[in-house]
Amino acid sequence: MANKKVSEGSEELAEFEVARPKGRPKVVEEEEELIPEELGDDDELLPEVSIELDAAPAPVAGPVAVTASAEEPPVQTATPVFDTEQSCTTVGPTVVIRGKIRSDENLVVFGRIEAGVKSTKDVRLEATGLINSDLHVRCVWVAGIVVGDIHATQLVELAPEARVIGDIYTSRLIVKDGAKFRGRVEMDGLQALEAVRPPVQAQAAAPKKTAKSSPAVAEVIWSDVEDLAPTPAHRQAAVTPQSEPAVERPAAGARAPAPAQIAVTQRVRQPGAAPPPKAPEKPAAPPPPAQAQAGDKPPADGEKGIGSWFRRQ
Amino acid sequence: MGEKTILGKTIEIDGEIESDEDLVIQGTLRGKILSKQDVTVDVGGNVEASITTRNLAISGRLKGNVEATARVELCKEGTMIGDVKAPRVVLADGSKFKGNIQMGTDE
Repeated sequence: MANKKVSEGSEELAEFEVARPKGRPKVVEEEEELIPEELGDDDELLPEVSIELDAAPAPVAGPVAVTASAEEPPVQTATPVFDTEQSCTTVGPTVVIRGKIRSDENLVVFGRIEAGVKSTKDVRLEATGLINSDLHVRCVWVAGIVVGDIHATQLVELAPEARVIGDIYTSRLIVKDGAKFRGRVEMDGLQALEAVRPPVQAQAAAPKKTAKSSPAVAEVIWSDVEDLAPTPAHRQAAVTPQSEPAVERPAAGARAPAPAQIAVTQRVRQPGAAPPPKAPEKPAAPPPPAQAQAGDKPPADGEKGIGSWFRRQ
Repeated sequence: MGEKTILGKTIEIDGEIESDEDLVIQGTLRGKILSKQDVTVDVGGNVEASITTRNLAISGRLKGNVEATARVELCKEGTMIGDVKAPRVVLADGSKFKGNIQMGTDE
């Protein structure tokens, strides 16, 4: 389920994916070995994971920046506190629970839970903790490992040590730098925007056509996307002889041949770049309209960035 | 923190618990407990499980068979239905018990 969205990932996570429960949680035999190993080496993975994080929530995050920022004041009512002083259940580091858990109080996990968790309160998963199942909770703070879907009515926070494979359904999500996550994110409050979002198949197959036929919100997004489409010949010619031909060519070469890759690029670009809604032909950066030649340069930078992004794949 | 596992009053667990540390149950548990350390069923705790442990103290309600390597104590608030197998067994005055008790190392 999670793999569908994410094309590439770390081997560490891929290994771990095997342990993901299908329906009923699978019992992993050697727990003491599993946990330190997973928490051990995390050097080379960080850049890739950050890409994943950009890409996964992008389709929903993009429109919010454009339209919904005014209508949605961040109401942090009943700010979730993960305080352990209240009456709470503690699952110690050597404990394994299998089966099913239902709870109306906070749960602090140092050990392993291979059981469906349903709680009306919060769950705090410490760095030594592992939850190998789905979670239905109010808030969850994760520093350990979760293999399974997280359904939170309020907040999900992934601490820097967190490893999560699975989908996250929540209204608020915090991902700290260093956290590793693979899966889908669905956030509440986007139903209105969902209506204007073009279907996923249409994105991949024919992005340009979709842009033409979509309502206003989508138009803004897709106009930005069009800039990433294969550069027309005349624009190419305008750019190349000018200043930096050596750098520009490989980027264009990486970009042009594969429409499927372009579809991926769109999702990555959306949240960051705030495109000017008026000019679909113009690049994302706002150059003075008078300079026709210099107007082509900012996209060169942007495209270069995308090109290097591809090269890393 | 973390040295002891406490399952609070509103917790309900269906399943199995394995533990190498002390376990205190104040909530509801159905299934099985395997512990190398001590297990306490607190007042308010409601356990329907077979328990294998070292020491067991019962102040709540327990239904199921118990096998302890050291000691089983049924406190005065405690209620237990099931068989007990342990070298030492203590039943406090006021406790309620129904079942068999087997002490010693024979058999």
